[in-house]
Amino acid sequence: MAPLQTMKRVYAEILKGEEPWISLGNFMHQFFGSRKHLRAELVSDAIRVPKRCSFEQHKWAVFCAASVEYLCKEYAIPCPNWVHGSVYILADPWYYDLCADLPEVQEELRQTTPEEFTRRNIFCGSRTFDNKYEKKGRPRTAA
Amino acid sequence: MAHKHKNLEDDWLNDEAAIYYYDDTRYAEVTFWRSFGNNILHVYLPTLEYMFATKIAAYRPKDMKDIQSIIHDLQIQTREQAQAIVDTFLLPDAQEFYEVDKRLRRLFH
Repeated sequence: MAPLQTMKRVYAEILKGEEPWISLGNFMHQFFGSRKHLRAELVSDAIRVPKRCSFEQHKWAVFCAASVEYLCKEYAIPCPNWVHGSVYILADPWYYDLCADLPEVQEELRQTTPEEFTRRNIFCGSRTFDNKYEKKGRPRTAA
Repeated sequence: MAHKHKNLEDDWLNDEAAIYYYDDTRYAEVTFWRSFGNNILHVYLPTLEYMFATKIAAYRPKDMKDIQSIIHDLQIQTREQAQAIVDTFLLPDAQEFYEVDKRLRRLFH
C-alpha cells in the first residue's frame, strides 16, 4: 500500500524540486479516491516551511494552505488551525492561469476563485480541484 | 499482471476520466502501444491532437504546462489551427459548455 500522500508530504516534495502538480495530483488521487475515508488525516499535519524559502516555494506553501482550507469546507471535514498562520498570505496577487497577463483573465479569476484562495491573494479560478470521481457528465441538451 | 504488484491501490487503473470521453468527444484517437500478461491487458496511447482537445476542455491549473507543451510539440501557431484540432474531437455542445472559443481566443491573442 502506498504511503499517505498528505499535504505535508506534498509540500516536502515540492521543496525537493518535484513538479507541484505531480505531488498535488497524487494527493488528489488519494483525497478523492483511494483514501477518501482518511481525508482528515491527509490534511491535518502542518506543512514545514523553511525560514528562508524562495518566492516560488512560498507561493506553493500558501497554495497548499488555501487548498486545505478549501477542501475542508467542500468536504465538511475539520479544518486544521495551521492553515490560518499569517505566513500563508501572499503580499501580491498571484494570477494563476494561462494568459494571466490579460486584464479580462484577471477579472474572471477574481470573480470565480473561491474565497479561501482570494483571501490569500491567489487567483486560480474555480476548476482547480475539479473531481473526476464525482463527475456525473455534462448536462445534455437533447434527449 | 496487476496481481503481481502487491502495493497497487484498488483503483490503480485510472478509468474515472472515461466518462469525459464518452460524453464530450466524437471518438478517442488512440494507437496501440503494447499488451501485457499474454494479451490480457492492451494499452493504447492517445495522440497529441486528442490530448490537446481534452486538455483544452479540462483547462485546470494542472493542465497549463501540458497545454503549453502540446502547443509547442504540435507546432500550433494560430487559433485556427488549434480550432481545427479541437473540432476534430470535441462535440459542438461540449465546446460551448467548456468555453473553448474563449480559451482559444485568449491563448492565441
